[in-house]
Amino acid sequence: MTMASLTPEESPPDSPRGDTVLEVRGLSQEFAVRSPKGGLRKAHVSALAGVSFSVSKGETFALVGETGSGKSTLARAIIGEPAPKAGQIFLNGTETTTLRGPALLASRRAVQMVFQDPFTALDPRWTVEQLVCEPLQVHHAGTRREQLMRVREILSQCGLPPGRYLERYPRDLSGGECQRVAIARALAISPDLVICDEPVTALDVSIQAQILNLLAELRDRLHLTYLLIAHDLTVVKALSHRVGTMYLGKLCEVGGTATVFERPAHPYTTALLSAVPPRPGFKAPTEPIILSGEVPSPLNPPSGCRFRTRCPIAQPVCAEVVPEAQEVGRGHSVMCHFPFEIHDVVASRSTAAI
Amino acid sequence: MLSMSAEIILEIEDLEIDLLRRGGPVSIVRGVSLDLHRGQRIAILGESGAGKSVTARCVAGILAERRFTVRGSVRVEGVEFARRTRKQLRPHRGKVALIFQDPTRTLNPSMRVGRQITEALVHSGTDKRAAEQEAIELIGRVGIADPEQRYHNYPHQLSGGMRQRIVLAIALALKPDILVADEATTSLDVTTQAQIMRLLSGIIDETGMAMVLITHDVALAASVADDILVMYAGKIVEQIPAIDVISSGEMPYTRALVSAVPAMAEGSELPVPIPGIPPDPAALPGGCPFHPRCSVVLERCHEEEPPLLGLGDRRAAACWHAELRSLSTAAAISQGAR
Amino acid sequence: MTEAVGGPIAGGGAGALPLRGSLRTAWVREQRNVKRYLRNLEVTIPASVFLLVVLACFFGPWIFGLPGANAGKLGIQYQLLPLNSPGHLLGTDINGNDLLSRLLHGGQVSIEVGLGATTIGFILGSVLGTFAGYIGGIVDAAVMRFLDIQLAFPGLILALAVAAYLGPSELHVIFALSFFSVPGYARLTRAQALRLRERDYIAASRAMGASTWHVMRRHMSPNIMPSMLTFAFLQIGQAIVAEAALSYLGAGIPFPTPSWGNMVKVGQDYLRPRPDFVLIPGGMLFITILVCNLIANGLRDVAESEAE
Repeated sequence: MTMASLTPEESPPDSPRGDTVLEVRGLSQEFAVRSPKGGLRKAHVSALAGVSFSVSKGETFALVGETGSGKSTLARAIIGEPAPKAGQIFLNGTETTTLRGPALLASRRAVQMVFQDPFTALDPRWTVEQLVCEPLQVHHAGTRREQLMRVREILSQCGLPPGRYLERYPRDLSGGECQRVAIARALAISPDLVICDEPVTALDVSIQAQILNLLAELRDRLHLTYLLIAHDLTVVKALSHRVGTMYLGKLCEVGGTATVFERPAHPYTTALLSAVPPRPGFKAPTEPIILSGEVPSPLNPPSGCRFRTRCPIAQPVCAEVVPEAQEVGRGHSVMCHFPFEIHDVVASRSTAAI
Repeated sequence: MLSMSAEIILEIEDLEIDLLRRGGPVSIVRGVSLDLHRGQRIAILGESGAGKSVTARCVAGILAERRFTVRGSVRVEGVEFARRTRKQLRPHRGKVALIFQDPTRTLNPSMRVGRQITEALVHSGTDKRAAEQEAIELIGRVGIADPEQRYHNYPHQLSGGMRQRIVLAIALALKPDILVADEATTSLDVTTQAQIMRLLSGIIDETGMAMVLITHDVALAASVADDILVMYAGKIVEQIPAIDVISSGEMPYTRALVSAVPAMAEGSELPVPIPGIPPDPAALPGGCPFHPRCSVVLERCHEEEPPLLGLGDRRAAACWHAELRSLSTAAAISQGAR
Repeated sequence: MTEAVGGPIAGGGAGALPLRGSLRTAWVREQRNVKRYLRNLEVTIPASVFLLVVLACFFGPWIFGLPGANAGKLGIQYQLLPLNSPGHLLGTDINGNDLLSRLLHGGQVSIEVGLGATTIGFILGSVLGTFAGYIGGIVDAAVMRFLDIQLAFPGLILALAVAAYLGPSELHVIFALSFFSVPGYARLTRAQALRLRERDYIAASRAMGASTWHVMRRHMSPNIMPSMLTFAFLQIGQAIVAEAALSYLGAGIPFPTPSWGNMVKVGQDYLRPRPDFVLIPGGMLFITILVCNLIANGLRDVAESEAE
């Protein structure tokens, strides 16, 4: 398998363009849970709070965040599982949260998802053929014969010779093979956007490499647009053109991957990047920043900037005013009252420590 | 950070472990030998099926007796641990502490966390009142704020990182000489992982404990350990100082494993996949178990399994190429000496 | 899984594929599924015995040319003939009826009730439970309250009352028994549905635009069915016992139609001279219920070993 190479192209600024595949505006999501204090009243988890970004055709946009950041919730909100409480989602220019019936079905055709755990993402009682054919059947795409041909085609493209795999069941397959089937299923109906939710996290290292290469190869060959959800920054670096970091339901920073990774503006992004164990192909932007404390409970997120309780450069204004998105470079925006200042602070700390 | 004293705290010699499955016994560990010194940190690197977790459990003395057959020797501070029942090992409990990947499964969900630490202490002889005090101290020591408050929390009230710290506290309660962390930070976020690793480093420096870190994350291993042991198909296939693992692995598997991790090489972005899948212990290929996936496979590799060859200077590799190289080096030296 | 007991709910992998070719492959696939279960002795042996009993009861009288269940000739020379009498293997009863014939015809009734009540209860209960578990919310709450109320009543006694009210007949017994077995199936399938609802493959199916019906029929049902079948086979045994109890109490199958239950009832009057009047139908009940339970056990073992 030849190694597909990535040429990260910085896309122009974040303004709606003709070929914007996905645009998310002010997306918010809440879940009602049993109140920890007991009683009948339900408490609300603010899983997403006013997230906005867009993905252009052919681009791979990565959403990075840790547990509780809301990135998976965001991915599922886009496919309506469940639909968001507030905000708008534009797929190829059409707003989808208000759609019902046949129009909703049609919009589902445009987005497909690859899930994290390849074993639970496939119905154990279905054969590979049935699994990959399902989206074609649900959307009544082509005759039975055409569907079968398409299934064979996409299986080959995903590295699974149809002759050997059509009649097999997921339990007979390895993790990597299952994930390939899941990818084939997602691509069967030629969606405009493929959401990859932690596609390699559950796989062995050597298999991760196989699947990452497959994703890159398919992207180049079929001109796919990916929304990549990940927590592994090296995977993000390998695959994505643009990246957005999330913390506790808020988008902290968005920009071209190379730019953001080299000189992040948001303190959280900086801390995240600096925590990656060092290696030759990945230079951390600063010395390791060890964040203090724990992630606050999403039942009661901090006022103002949600990151302020652990931020090394938090100021009083951070508790009072929610930071708005500001442009700090070409296509690079950040939600922070003090963009880039983290670098000075860390630099001065290390000089002081000497 | 190298802090090795001469005292050997763990000796494993020709450890072989079979798993009893329905179709018959399957060799999971096929001859592992290693020496661990007080204060040393080693990482055992490998993928699933390599046998690392089983080895760890055997060292900790918690291998399910009925399902596993053990041959060879595991000596902790001179005391034999292999093939001993739980009862026989009881006086030595706590010498080896084992932390697992998922703290949610290690902790009892219906018991307050403080009490879980206290229990460990009480079982090893401390009286209850002193145990409670010590537990609170330990909670503070693992970096949790408000230890007296947290003592009374249930596991579900704590975040993943905090739970893992509690697990660490329980492990430390018995003042172990060896701490084995089996993918202990794999399910944690990278920032939490950094916190926990820094905490562990500090504690190890303080107490002079030895640490065995089991992981599949090459970069993590390289940044934390002194020496790295690479396991494949139940055997150690390479031993190498951590600083060298990224650049100069001897065994092709080690090099392939490094290249399979994203961003390991300057410039190139995508990781290089290793073809095939890790072998099933019940159906190992003949000869060198890595040969079907090896890019520099020789004839000999199909037939004979290479032994772990010492290459001096804390290095060893189980590869015919390594043997050839060392032979030719020896030949060159003896020629030069003439 | 298989299309065994359960009709349209056990959709298996057959799916909604219109062309003949695809139906054939679906059929082949189902055959392979069934074969997987049959390869297991724990299932095959009791299943064979069960089949034997069924065949004997339904075809025996015709094959062996037995007289009807109530074709006893009048006259004292024909009454209460002992076992192994010429022409009457099991003897005759007080009315001169051939006991072997009564036993086999009675078996027909008992088995019909067992299978009938189970099938109806299974279908109704599974649909209700799967629906409630999957849809959730108000629908789930409503169904559960209804089932709770039903469960609060003592089943057999109510079945007795209903059967007595409607008048004793085989059909009424089937209705009564199936009605009161519904909550059991519903609760089980609901629990399974709740468990499966959050699986990724269900979300994947919905995400690609599948309708609720599609998800329920093609994903939920096939995954719920295997464990339900185990339960169903256990219930067949229970239904047969229940019928026997009802008939014994006089509210089940009315005379002169034989059923194993009422044969035992009659037999207890003749316990001293003819213990076989009780022991033989009782023995048939025992065997039939035992093999049903063994089949259920076997199915469960196969399903579990498969899940490994």
